[in-house]
Amino acid sequence: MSNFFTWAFILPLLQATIRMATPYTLAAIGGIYSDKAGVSSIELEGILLMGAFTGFATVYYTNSLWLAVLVAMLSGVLLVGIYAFMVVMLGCKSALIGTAIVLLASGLTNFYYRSIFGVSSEYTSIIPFKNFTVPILGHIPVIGKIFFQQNALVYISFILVFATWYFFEKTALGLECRSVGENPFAADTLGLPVVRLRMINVLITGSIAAIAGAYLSIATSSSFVENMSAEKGYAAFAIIILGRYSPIGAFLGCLLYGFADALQLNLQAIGINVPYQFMLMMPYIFTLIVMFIAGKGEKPEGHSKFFKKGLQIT
Amino acid sequence: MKKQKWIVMVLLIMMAFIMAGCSGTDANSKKDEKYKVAVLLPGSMNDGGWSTMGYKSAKAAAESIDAEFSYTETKSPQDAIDALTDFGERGFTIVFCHSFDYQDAAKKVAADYPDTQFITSGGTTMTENITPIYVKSEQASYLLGVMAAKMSTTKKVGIIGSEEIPSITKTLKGFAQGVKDTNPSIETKLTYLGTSTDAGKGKEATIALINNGCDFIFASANAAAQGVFQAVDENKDKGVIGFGSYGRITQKYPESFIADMVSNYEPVFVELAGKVVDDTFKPGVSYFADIFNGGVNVYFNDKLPVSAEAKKAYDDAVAKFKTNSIKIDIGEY
Repeated sequence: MSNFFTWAFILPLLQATIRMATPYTLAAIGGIYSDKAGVSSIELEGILLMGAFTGFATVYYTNSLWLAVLVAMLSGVLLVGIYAFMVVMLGCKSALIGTAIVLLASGLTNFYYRSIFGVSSEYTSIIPFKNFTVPILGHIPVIGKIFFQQNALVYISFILVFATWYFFEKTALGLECRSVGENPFAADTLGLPVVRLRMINVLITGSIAAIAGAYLSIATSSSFVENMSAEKGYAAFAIIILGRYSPIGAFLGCLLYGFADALQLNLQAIGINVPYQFMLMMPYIFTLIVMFIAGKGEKPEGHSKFFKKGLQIT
Repeated sequence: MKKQKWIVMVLLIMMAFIMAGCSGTDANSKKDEKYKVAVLLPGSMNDGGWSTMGYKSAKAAAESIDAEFSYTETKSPQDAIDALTDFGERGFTIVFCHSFDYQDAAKKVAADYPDTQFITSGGTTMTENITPIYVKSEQASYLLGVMAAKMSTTKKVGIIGSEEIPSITKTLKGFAQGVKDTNPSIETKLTYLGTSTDAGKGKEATIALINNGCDFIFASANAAAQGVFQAVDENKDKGVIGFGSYGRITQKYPESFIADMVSNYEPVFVELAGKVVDDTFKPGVSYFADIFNGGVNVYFNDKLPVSAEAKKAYDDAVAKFKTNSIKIDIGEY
């Protein structure tokens, strides 16, 4: 207990927080694009799996980590394309299609993993992204150690958070995307290509969330494990709501999740005598507390509303 | 409209891919007089641990009696009942139910299919056609614990489990008791992940243990253990050494893993399948597998040998197991 509030405990804890928050961050930032445009991002879990598998397989065959990130993004776009088509163009229920996408991704990745790498107790592994220290920023005391001595995908997630915020808050196109989410019918009368904007946003979701998947298999660990996303996509879906549909809010939510994850592992490692199930509950308890204090925030007015030209539903 | 057509085409092509994926299962073409063996797995057959072992062992057993082979992965207790009913309906000779908790499903189903032998890996239910196998994997992990206690310089060892279920906890308890019996002053730190598939979490848990001074790490965490192994290997410069489980981890990471425990259901599966064929099978008795009949093994690493003192303690413990003078408290089972 005495070593509880020491640097030796806190610094590694915060470093782990960032590492564990990153997959949530990438997934949630991706999800925000479709949520802002009024399409639910419940399919995230499936994209994570897909990105994890295709990223891993690409590194295995080509040894190129950056190519793997690209291929993962592409696979995410392809997979989410099905979702976008069904939900945005045909108006199917997103919960239904989203679940189908998750199951499809789980089945596809398991099947192809088995057929390529076989069934074995010796896992194939690759050489993952390495940590590197960002010049100047990495040498700031404490902050540098926590934020800027990580791997490249972590930095990409930071950049994406601010780029996404800038896009939606400061650019005309971002405003158009938001208006499509707020009121697709009004946006249509103003001459905005509602369906096209929604489609593009959902595809962007696929590409960014797939990086989160790749992060799991080629940055934190160095192998693909079936269903390795372990419900992170659903968590990100919830974090977006927790973060009140804002990129910065979602980022803070992700840090909270990452912190709770890291804290429970570190507390167990210290040897605190609390049932482990209780510690596993911590992220969810945090969520409830934050929801209770902050409220759930307003979702875009036209969220999950089907839009088709000439079809007016009130 | 044109665009929609194009998208439909893409969808159809994708469907074709998926369909193609489905056709690769074991065909049951030859019907008459061939034995049928099936295995029911609680997780992905590719978890690199428990289920992989169950799949391979059952497959070997099926091949040994030239039987048709089938497997099912279950996700829920109801899945298990459905799958067992299905195997019973289709007249399977032997169904290996490779999980402790399948005994409940077997209890519900077995009475309706007296011609099928249900063999459960673990469990306490014994009837005319339900037969439990008990593999004493805790013996092997005890031996690893003995060696860890002799070799740890920081006096702290870390153990990691996926979830608190009997087949995981008994191995971890065996290890902890091995440490304690050998040197009570050594602290064993236990972490549960709460997941069997999140390798990233396994890795972080290991890093947390290492940061808290553990120099020996042992995990029984199914697929999530991959992360544990990687974290140990990345920290070998800090003097961290790992014990592998359910696979030859020492061969993959020869510089950082000193010994493996591998429990192996294959000998006992093959033996029981043979007995069923010869009609010498006695159902409703518990079958045991331990370190003496090949059910569990400890493998050492030539490139990273254990200290002489640890080897001696290991040999002493094996001798004690032989005379049955070590009782491992595995808690409720």
